[in-house]
Amino acid sequence: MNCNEAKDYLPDLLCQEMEEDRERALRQHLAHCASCAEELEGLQAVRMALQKEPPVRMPQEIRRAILLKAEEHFASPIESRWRIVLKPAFAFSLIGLLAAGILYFMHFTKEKPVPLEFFLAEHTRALSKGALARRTIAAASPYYSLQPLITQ
Amino acid sequence: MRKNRKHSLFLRALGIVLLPRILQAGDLSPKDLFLAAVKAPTAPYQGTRTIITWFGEESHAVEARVYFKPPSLWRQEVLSPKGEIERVVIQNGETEWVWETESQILIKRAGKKNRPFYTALENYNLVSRGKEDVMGEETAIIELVPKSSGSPTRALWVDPRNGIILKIKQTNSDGSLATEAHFTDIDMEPDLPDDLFEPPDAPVLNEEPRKVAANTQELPEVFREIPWMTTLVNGFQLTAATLVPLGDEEAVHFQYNDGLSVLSLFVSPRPIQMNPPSHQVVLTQYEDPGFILSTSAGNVIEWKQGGAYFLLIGELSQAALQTIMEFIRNPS
Repeated sequence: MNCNEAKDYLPDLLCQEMEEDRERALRQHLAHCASCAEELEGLQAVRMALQKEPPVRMPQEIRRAILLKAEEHFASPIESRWRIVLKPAFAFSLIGLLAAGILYFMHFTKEKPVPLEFFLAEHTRALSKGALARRTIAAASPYYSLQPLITQ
Repeated sequence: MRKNRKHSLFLRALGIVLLPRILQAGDLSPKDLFLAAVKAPTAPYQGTRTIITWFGEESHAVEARVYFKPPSLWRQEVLSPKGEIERVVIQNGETEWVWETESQILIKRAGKKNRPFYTALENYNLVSRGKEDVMGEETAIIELVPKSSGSPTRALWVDPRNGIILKIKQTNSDGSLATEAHFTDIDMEPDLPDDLFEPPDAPVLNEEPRKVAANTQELPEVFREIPWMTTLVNGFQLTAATLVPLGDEEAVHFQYNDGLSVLSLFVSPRPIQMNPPSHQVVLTQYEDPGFILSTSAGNVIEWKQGGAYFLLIGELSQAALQTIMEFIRNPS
């Protein structure tokens, strides 16, 4: 671990939030690096000094001003909140989305038709021995292929 | 008395000696000729055959080299317009292999058995149409005329000595030509090695057989209400009912046969994409050593009944399909 990395991890070490391996590496570095050890001591001193001070309370005026702003924000009239919804771009997008949903629903729930060629191939399969049929059907139909009829 | 008995014995002996010669000369009855033609030939042969199919105003021609060795070894090489082998079909009676030369796919599937040719004797009139010389061989011509209107008529040129069909012509019920297949060269005494009928050494794709339903109870629940009809009009008998996967669902495929023609009735839970609901389609060319079931253009008709979608496919006229449709809709 070099000095830059070590300095990044010093606050974590103070808060005891380090992984074991990394902490070991940091402590090895601090044992040989006077500069980093000095910085750690400084941080520890500041922390101890802060802990000795009594807690600081927020002034009442500031507290009241924040609460007032928050109230104004959440209590805004309904019309202004729906203003974005009524914007044409938003409305068209919503309609488009709904239409796509309906089409998707219709497509997947409606009985999907089976091409006639599929049944022609099955008819052929029932009587075919000479396999000329496959060629004829294949030529007649873009849907037909050999694959649906066979399994490995 | 004794003289009469001697006379009778003499006549019988004469009959035994002369009958085969009479038959060889092509005097078999149309029925015997037909039965000889639909069985596998008794002699080996190899030759080149041309099959022409008409559908509407279009036609399609295919040339194939054919090898046959009794009792049931058969090989057909389908040729491209350049004369290269596109596909090889090999049968040994129980199994069929299809070798796609371009894609290098070898498909294995069960051969068909028990073809109901005898039913044809009930549904077709067999008419003798005399004799004709085909490629130097004397053939007897029989015509299979359907008893019901709307079915195609077939004419066969049969070599009476071995049952080989040298030419076949199929005409639609309106008199238009449907299919003609004939040999352009044939060798009746070829020396065919057995390994000619072996499939190539390649990974095999096994064609999965369809599930068979034996009765209504074995159909998907949504189809339990549809009538299970073992016979239709025009002499069609039910030969099989199979289940065809349609994604998560299944359609039912009822296969009917009148002895020569195959009629398919599909019952689907999903609509069938076709426009218009009835029209002419290209069916198939079917072949085997007897190649009597050669088919070509056909018709389809579709309707909705009881929440399911019905489809009839067959090489019958549109009017005949309509009659069958009405029969299915109102079986009583």
